[in-house]
Amino acid sequence: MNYLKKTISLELEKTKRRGIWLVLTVFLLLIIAWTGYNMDDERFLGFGWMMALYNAPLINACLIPTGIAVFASRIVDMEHKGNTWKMLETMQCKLDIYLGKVLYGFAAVLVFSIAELILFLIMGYVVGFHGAPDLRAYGLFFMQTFSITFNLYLLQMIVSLVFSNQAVALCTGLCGSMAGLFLMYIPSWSLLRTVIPWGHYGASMFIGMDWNKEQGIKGFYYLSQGNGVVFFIMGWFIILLLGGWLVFRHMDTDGFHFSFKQHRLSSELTLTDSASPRRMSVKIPHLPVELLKIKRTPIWIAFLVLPLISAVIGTINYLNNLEVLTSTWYSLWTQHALFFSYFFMPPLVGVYASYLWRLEHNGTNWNMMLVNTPVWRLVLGKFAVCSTIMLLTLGWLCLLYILCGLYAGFTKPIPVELLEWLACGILGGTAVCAAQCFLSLVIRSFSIPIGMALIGGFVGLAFTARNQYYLLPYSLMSMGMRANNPNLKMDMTQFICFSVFFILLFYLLMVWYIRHHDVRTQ
Amino acid sequence: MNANIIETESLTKGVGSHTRVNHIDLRVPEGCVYGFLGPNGAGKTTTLKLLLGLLKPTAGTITFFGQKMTAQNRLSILRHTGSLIESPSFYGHLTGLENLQIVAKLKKIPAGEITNVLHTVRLYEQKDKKVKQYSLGMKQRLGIAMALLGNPRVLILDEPTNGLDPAGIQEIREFIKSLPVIRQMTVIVSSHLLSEMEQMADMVGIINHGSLIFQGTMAALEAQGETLEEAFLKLTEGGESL
Repeated sequence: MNYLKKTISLELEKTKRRGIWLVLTVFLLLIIAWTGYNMDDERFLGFGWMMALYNAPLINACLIPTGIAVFASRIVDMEHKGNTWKMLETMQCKLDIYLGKVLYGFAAVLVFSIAELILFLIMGYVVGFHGAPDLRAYGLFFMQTFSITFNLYLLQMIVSLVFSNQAVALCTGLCGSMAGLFLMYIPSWSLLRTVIPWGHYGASMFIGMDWNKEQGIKGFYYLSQGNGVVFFIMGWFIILLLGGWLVFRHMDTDGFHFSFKQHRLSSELTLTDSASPRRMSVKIPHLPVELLKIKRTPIWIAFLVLPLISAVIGTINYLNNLEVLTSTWYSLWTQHALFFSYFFMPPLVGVYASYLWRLEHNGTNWNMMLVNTPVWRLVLGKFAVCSTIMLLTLGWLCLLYILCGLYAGFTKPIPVELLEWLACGILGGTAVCAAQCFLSLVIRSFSIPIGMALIGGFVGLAFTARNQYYLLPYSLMSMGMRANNPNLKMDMTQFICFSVFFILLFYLLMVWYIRHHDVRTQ
Repeated sequence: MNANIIETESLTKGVGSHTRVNHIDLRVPEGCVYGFLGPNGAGKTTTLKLLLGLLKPTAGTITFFGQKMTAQNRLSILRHTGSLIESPSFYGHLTGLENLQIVAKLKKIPAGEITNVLHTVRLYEQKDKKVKQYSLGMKQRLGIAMALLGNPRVLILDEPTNGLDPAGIQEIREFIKSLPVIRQMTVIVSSHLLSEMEQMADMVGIINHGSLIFQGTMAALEAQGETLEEAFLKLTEGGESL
């Protein structure tokens, strides 16, 4: 008990002023706000307690993987950044260091799960759900949330340990969120949902919904779980706990070294005198500086994988619901773009922006940049690269959409409106790039701006629902892509004016911020 | 003595008890090695950052090459300088060569110079290694190479021998000493090591608690006490570690 207390208090001390608990609190409040949204409707109050338990796994599956990725990254990244592994290992045995991270995560996930349970109960009483909650059902929900979230914490902790570049961990969290959410909509893929840890929120659902098209929601009922998900949860716990330890045990104090990595000679070198390597001359690649800096970046993984998950699962969902989704190309577009543009594209842009600015936040790089580059050009370079990768992401999404449409056997031509959706999506997306670049410039943490982007996507959804989409860059992008309704007619002047306004605003804010603040180095 | 290439008038950073640099009037003659000496935390790095415009002065002016530095002409002035402040700046996931390519592009310098500086700091054989795999001394050499790119008129080096082995330290000291002669450079080099300054510097500025307490030739400093160490301790009231 003393060991536990000492270990957790040490980690608490280390994470002081890291805003770690703020991250969990914000995600928790978002989960509660989303679950409680519209639940005060008189039609739902009669079965509110069960409805909340029905909705919660879906919201958990969508938000927690990214939230816990941010959380784990904050805990582990401070050791990478401070280069503290070598110091810690002179004072603690490796197992203690590892267990410190595990136990701290355990305590935090426990507190998070208890808080979620309590807040659900409070929400129910405040909203006025009829009757009393089934405490056994809520107890089961708590146990599931805790165990699945803790597994995800272990997974994210390992990724953050192995890859000192936290972009990998954040991309993993984002891909997990997307996979977990989409798998809930594909009943035929129940095995995959049961096997992968992000699918467990959906696989362990024990409430079903009685619904039909004419009458809407009629009620909820208990389901029996025969999918053995509990064994998979336990199996993953053992694998992750022991696997994590094995990885950490073999990690050097300067990070994990992959044995398959080979040292390669730069292709930019040209031999001028084969007899003497000392006479080799070098060339400077004809690429913008900001592009040179992102060589070997891991963000291309997320760039490739996230739209791919969205396309594969969106297409399968479309093919499984042909009786409802009858507008071929248009229906397929909503399946591809809806969740992606609201929930995944903003944090993905957040990853791009955080990565680009982190290059300068590291060490004393600000010193080098600001004595060689005008501020306006530096900001423009970052913003341009971020926007270009965003543009390529949307282009990749569109390409996958066309390929999936052809696979689905559509005989009608590809809608010409696709070009307009893409163009408007790029303009709105550029506004998101500007906002995220500003956040990542001001907030030196890698993960916090990404968490803020995820929240921005949700808030954007709320703004769109109130027809005020133009007030937030995140909703501008989704509306531009016509993610909700491909046939929607927008006020283009308003859309363009607000997009350009946000782009200029955040660009100028970035220039102003750098010019009026002293350089901060680590 | 040559004309001053850098001058500051009442250069100040911070106010009240938070003053880090207090009314400093630097006079750096062209073509010399100017040793900027002071105990840890005296304000050396802050002053050098102020010179480069990395910190905004609370008061005072900075003049480079006879031109008063402003936000508008800052970068055009700094085009003729090279600097290594605090610790080397680098992108760890890129190789040493790739890092230098980035700096060369920023400074608009031909690629040929990269090879020269790599040879100068003896990093040529290691140029294709990622910088995160470099030793501390190699990173320091890379930082010096970055500062040397473009053959600047003024080189500002903040404790450049940090992390180098004894042979490397001696080599860098000799190299710095040779720069005014071979490349007609003016070098400002900060250190908290008196012996280091003794070997390299023609002019010395001593800073303590943010104030410049001595500025003059090495010979003038020696005249203040029997030995340089005594003179330094006398000036810094003997209470600070070197």
